[in-house]
Amino acid sequence: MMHYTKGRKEIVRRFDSKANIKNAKKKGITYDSSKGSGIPTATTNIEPLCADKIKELLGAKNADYYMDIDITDKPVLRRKTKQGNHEIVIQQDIKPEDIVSSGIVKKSQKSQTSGEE
Amino acid sequence: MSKLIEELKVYGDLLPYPDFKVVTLHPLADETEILARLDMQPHECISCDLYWVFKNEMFFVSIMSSNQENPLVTYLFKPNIEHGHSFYVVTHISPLYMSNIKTVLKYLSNWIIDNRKQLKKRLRVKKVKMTNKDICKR
Repeated sequence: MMHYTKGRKEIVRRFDSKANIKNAKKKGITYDSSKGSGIPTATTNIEPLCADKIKELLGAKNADYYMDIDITDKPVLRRKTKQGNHEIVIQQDIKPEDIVSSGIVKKSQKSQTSGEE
Repeated sequence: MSKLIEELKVYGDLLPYPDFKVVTLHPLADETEILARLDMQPHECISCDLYWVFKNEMFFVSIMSSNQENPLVTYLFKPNIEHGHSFYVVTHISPLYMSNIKTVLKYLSNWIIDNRKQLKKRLRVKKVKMTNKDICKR
């Protein structure tokens, strides 16, 4: 079901490769409705720790780096993964200025999640 | 092949199909135990992403139920990323059941077999509109 985040600020987290995060910060990410349902992201409750665990939790292809994106007023599709995590699929272009922070996913024995499921 | 299957299992349990090595990332309308755990109703199962190993490649497939969009199947290849093959399927069928996943994978298997030479040659980003048919409808 499509939702808008009107009237309230919402920040989401996307995990990706170093190259893709760098490219997104430079050029943004284009949404093409013929290529997929949108740009998948997670809540910021998913801590940037242990790429393998994040891949398992979210189904991300690559989770070496992350970026936080402001999705205020953007159309999104909200769904749950089988692992019980909330997924926010952005159905609009992401501009470089929408990216509020980014960083590396630290290595850890165990990823920490909170408030999910 | 076994290395790819191990990689696939990172994303979850394989669906119980002997013909398809596939892991779905989102619940389906007939996965009642998972829906109960997630506090979801079957009618909410309107989209499903999955990873699928076929012919020594891993494919990403995204299936979306939508009455606001026309049925569609597209293929996208990104050469600069590992497992850069992906498909996007739009269907009017809603909600999505395991049988719909099987129907989609059968269609995609045939398309991959028919186009395997071109798929191996690809070096640049390529988007192919495969059909406007609703492949979930039998």
